[in-house]
Amino acid sequence: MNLFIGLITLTAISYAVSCKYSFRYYKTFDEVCDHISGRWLAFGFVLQAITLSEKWILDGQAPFTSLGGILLALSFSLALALLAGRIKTPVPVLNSLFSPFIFFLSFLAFLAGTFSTPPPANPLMTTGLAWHIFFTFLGFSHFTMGFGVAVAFWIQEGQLKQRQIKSWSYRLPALEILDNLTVFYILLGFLFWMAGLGLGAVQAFQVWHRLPFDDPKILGSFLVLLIYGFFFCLRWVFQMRGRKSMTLVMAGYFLALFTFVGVRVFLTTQHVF
Amino acid sequence: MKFIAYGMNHTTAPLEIREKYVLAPEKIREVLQGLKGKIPEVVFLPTCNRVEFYLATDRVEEGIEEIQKIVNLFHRMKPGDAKKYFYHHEGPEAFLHLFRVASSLDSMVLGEAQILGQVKEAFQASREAGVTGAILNGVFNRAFAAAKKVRTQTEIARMPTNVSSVAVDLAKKIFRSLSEHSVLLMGAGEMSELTAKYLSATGVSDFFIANRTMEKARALAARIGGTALGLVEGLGKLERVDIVMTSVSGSEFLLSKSDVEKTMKRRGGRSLFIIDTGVPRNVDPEIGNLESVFLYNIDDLSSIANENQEQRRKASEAAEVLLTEEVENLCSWLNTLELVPTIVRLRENFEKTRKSELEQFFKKNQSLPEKERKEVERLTRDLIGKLLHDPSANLKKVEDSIDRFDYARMLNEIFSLVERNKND
Repeated sequence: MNLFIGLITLTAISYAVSCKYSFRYYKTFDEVCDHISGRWLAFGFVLQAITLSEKWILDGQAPFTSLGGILLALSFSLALALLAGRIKTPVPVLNSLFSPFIFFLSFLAFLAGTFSTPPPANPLMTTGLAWHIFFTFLGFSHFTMGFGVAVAFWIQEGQLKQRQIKSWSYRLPALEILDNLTVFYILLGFLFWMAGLGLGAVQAFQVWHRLPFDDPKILGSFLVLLIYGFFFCLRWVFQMRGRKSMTLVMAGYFLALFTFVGVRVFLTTQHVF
Repeated sequence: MKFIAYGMNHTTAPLEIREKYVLAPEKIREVLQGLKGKIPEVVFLPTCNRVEFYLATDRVEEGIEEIQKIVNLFHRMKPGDAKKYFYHHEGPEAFLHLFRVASSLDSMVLGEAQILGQVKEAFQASREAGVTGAILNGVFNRAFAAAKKVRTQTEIARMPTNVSSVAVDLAKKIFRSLSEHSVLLMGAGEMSELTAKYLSATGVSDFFIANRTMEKARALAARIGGTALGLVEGLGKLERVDIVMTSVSGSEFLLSKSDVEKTMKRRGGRSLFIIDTGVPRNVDPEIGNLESVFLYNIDDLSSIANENQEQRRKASEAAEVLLTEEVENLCSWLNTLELVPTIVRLRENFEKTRKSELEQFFKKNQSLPEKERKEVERLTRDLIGKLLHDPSANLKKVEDSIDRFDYARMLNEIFSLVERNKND
């Protein structure tokens, strides 16, 4: 327990430092600040990977039955998505946008992990179910990043079309970069989401011997896949680009967000999350 | 030691006066050589908009007089006539002036990039001529650091302010790397050439120049490195190129909406950036409403350039605050410098006293054997060394710049260091 608290504390500190340097980059345009921010993000990510593994091994079950564990997994998957984007095309302003979220989630995970008692073992939390949750988390995080980049594209494209360039928009990269990065994130998110849904379907067949499409969470998840599949089809077959294409990305994300969070608030579902 | 900025610029002297002070590089070296030995430290900064001297000296009037004498050798004006165009700043005001110059806050075009390079070159030339020392080296290095801060931490240099560079900047907002894209210039006028040069500087190498007169197109293609085409042939390249610039005379649109609409379908979703600098316009404005097409005319570019100019003016206010802080830091640093010469003077005075006392002692005791004389000399030297060791070490430890300055002043007064040095 002490090791777990120590690790999540260190993770939150690493993300806080990364966040601080990303803000400093936003203010000064100093690339050294961006490099430092990236390194602290990577360090926090490694620590978080160790934390999750340690929790998983020591508890004997995936750490997704507690609030702290869920927040930890969410910030971990967001950090992974941000790092993946940095490797593909470094866009420093994305660090400034997303590192506060990652830090905030990891800080909440730290609070939840420190001040709440660990939940009792849940027999329903099988390895297959754990990976189903983990992959959908990864998918959702990549969709979140894709959504963020699509919004940046929308803003940049809107300014260029209206011929009114604001001074802060000089921090945003070129439309071509934003377009490529959106596709990268949505593609990765699509693959993780599909893997998560596949594993979930296997679990559903084992428990209920059918795929309960009457559950809004399952229906919503498949619709998200359908929207993004449609997005790729329009892009690769009909060469659709620009604002319309980004609008579809955003629509897909809003549905994913509703499926992920809204369903449990407004509708009834058999899912715990 | 005082720091002085002495000179003239575009705000104090008209062009017909400034141009008289434009000197060839060999003349600049002559000016610096002429000042060597007459002023302890000096940097000469001659640009097309300013002629300035930065001095570190105790004798301000004499220093300025020396400068005037040297400068008068090279221009064709009476000394009295020239003097009214010169300004003179001293101490923190002079630091701020230098910092503002290096950061281009004192330039004709706010935020222009060339001035920092010119200040660096001027400093380098003065250093090579051997007319700079610890103070100017420190002050100028801090000025360069402050200028860098202003350029990176404020918006002053971020937004272009001329129409051609605005066009290139917009292209950079659309495309990842301009070197991977082709450009079609329709019309071979001055504006096309200037924009092509800016684009070329960012790495674009694939140019098509389409013009009614093939000779003009060929001439421009030879200058910037591209392919010359006829106007109709040029329109056929729309599918391939990503940036189009038009500046052709004519009353009808060169590019119609239906043509571009058809072309866009064949471009696989790639964006098209069209810059229409023709008056009357060469491109149907409706084209700007098409998906992935970005159309700018000359008024749009000018309005962005003006807006950027205004943004630079706003950014200069933040830069002024930053520079004031930097000047305060510099003043603190200079205060710390005061202690080093004080300690040196203190040691020199103790050494002089020791030597004179020893001389008298040896005169009175002439029978003293050589071995014992050396022993007495060593003893007095060690005594002075040990007595001064702790005060010197402790003085260097004083961190607060104001305290250091006060300590230096007190030591100078208690031991009459300045007076005694003057008498010596």
